[in-house]
Amino acid sequence: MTKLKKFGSKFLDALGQPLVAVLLSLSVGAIIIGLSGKNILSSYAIMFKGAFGDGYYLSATLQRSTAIIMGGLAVCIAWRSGYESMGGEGQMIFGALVSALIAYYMPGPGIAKILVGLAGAAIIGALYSVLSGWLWEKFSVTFIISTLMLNYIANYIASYLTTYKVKDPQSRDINSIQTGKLIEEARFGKVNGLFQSDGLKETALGQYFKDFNVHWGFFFALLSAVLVYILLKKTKFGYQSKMNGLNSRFALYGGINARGMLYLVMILSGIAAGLGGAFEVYGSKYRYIDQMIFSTGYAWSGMVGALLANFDPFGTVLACILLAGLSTGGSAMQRSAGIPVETVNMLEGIIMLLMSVKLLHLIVIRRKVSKEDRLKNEAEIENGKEAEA
Amino acid sequence: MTEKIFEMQHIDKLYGTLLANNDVSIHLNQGEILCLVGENGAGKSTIMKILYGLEQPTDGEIYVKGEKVRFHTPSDAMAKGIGMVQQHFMLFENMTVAENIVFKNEIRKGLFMDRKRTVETVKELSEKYGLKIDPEAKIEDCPVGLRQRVEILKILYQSAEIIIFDEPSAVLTPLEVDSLLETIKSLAASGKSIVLITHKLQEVMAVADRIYVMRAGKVVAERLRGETNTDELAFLMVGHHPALRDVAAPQPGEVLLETKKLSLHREHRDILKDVDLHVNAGEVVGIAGVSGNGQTELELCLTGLERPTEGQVFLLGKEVTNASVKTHRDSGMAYISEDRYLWGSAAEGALSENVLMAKENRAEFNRYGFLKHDAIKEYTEKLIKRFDVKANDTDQKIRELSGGNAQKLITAREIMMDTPVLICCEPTRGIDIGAMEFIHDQILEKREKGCGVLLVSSELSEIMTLSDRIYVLFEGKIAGEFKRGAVDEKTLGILMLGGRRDETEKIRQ
Repeated sequence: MTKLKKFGSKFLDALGQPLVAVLLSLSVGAIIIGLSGKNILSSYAIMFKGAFGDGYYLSATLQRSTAIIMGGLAVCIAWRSGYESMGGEGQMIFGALVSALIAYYMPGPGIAKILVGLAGAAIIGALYSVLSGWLWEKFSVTFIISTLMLNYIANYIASYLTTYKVKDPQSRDINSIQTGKLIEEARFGKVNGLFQSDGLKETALGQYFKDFNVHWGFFFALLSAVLVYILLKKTKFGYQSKMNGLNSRFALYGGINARGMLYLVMILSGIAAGLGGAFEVYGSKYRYIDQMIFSTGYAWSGMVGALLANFDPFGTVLACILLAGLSTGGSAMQRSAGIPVETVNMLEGIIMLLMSVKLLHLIVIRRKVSKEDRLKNEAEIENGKEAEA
Repeated sequence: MTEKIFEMQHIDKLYGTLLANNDVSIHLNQGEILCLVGENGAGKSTIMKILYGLEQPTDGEIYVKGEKVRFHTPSDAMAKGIGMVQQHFMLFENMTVAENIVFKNEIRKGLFMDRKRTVETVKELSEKYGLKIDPEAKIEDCPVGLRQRVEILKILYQSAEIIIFDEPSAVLTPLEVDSLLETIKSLAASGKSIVLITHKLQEVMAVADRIYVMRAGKVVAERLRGETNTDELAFLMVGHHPALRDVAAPQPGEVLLETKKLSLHREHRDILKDVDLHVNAGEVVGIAGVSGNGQTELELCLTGLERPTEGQVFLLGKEVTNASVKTHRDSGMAYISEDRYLWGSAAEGALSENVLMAKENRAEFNRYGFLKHDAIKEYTEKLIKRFDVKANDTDQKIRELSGGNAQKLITAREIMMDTPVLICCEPTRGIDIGAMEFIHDQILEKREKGCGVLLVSSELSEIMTLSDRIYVLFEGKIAGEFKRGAVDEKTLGILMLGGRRDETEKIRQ
């Protein structure tokens, strides 16, 4: 009985809060839809249909989720290790820009362009991520500040370059700030239609996936999630980084090299984010367009997803797809039900808020727990601790 | 008959299952200097924290000037004229002395702070009580002694009648201590009533009018200064004589751990000064001392968590002075930290994760960087069974274990490292007697195997029972070295409290 209870509470612990956050935000959305005089249920039905309704919509959602997942994985790696980096956006911007430039300017066959471009995106993402790690280690600049500021810097550098230095030579329009369009061979291929074999074509499954059309990037993101899962849950690095995240003093005490850990974590997290930018370029946009990462907020959605999933890589994939669905479904809702897409942005905002409440709660609980333990100790040692502190 | 300015009656304070204050009744007379003395953990800070509103009593009543009160926060206490000088100062580093003193009670001119009048007021205050300070100096430029003075002035500015000092001399140099004691005396002379929490008996004899001795949460004696002496107070504080264990004579072998002139400076203070010690194979070496005399820093320097300013550390003949923790551990050192939650474990981590620490590179648990989870689980189960840790399963968080069981698990992890040297700090702090004896057995077993154990403990009886050799650490220096049986608890106690060797000779006669 108690065992069952325990399992139940563990299950609730893992899923309860994200679920509550999503449901609560949907109910707030319902109130707003209701207030604007629209039918709540049918609006949400349109939203769901516009996100997951058929193969076509699903594809839109999955393609959109690609960069979000990569941003989410970057957050998983960093935050689980105790480094609250929010720099995914800047790393993604540079990843996107560099991959677009390499594939556009580098001579050679398409596949080589893509491979070198991916490597370039990974490297620039890692370097940019290491920069904030270095600022922290050297000057104690907190991650929140440095990464947020570096995001802006990345975006403006990318803006400057695309405006003045690497602007699409083909374009005569002064208002289009973007790099040159990649040739067909330097783009990701697509998976067209699933379950379309003769036997399955007429089934519901075949019908649903008839218009399925998703670029490889999404599948690379899934693969990345598997790799991150293995890295975090199965390897020594995963263990050490988790311990570092739970109690960095304990990690030091056990002989873990804190400096090495910091940089390794920042590199891996930066690679994930940088690749996310490249996937977006090779899969969807085929060039770097000014503000393409900044205004879409992929990195932020990824962070929300990782938080929702409590930094579990597979959970992050699911949560990020859900969040991407909110966006694509939201556009559908705007088209069909006349509800502004901002409503959906708000939903995401509310989820984020609720998840940060959860984080806060977590911190408070941790403090409280350790305080209780401490008090027990303190009664024993009374002043000793304070004298040491 | 002097007036009782406050009275606390039958105070109980329960932390979990630990009774930190047990039926404590004390009072303070107007204009008196009262000393609360006792070993660490005797409950003297707790009772004062209750008076100051930092802690709530589980039971009992408090009267201030005859009126029954209940303080929920320090500001409640402050409103009744009670102020407390804490050990760690609550000052804004980058603001001036005057600004810190008037904080929360600023002198205003309209909407703004009247800086000129502030400085004048603070100057007057400092002259009135003879506490010299520069009101316009920045706190960050002030040494510790001055900062403490600012704290005192802050309380005086809020017109406190009762001033509580919590181990005020712990952070001061000897010269600063003298001036502090003068200050305390002059404050009492000007009509303030003082409570001084301390375990330094010279201070007590220098200033106290009346003394309460506390032990294990209770008041065990009340004395006027004239009717007692340091000798009696030391005995009252330590009290009982521990039942000595029957420990086989040591068979010391070669030197495993050695320090040469180990020193650590921090913020212009010597935390450790020229510490020379060694631990031989097959020997338990105890470091006795009141906590806060450099033990923490000593263990950090020995394990590689802190770099000593000067001196050398040798482990199995190899110098490891500035080497990483990993090098220390790989060279043959295991380490039970004095604080099981701060350093010794990840409270939110699973038991298996906590057990794995520092073993994750061993081939037993690691193949090409991948962890062997089954082997880890099995090993954790083995440890839990062998060390009798009360736990449900290996995925449980260590936070969910009781303090004693968490300590057992940590002890198990470090003992099973199977290293020639074990640094063992406060291994039984805050745990029940059963777990304590078990851990003692483990330490002695380690010694039987020919390992060297350095035992740091503020529990004198623990040191006396287990150690083959004892060093006394006082203010970061070795104040004495004794073989088992060559010293009694009273002598150690006096050395721990800063007494000199000749004093102890006198007592013997």
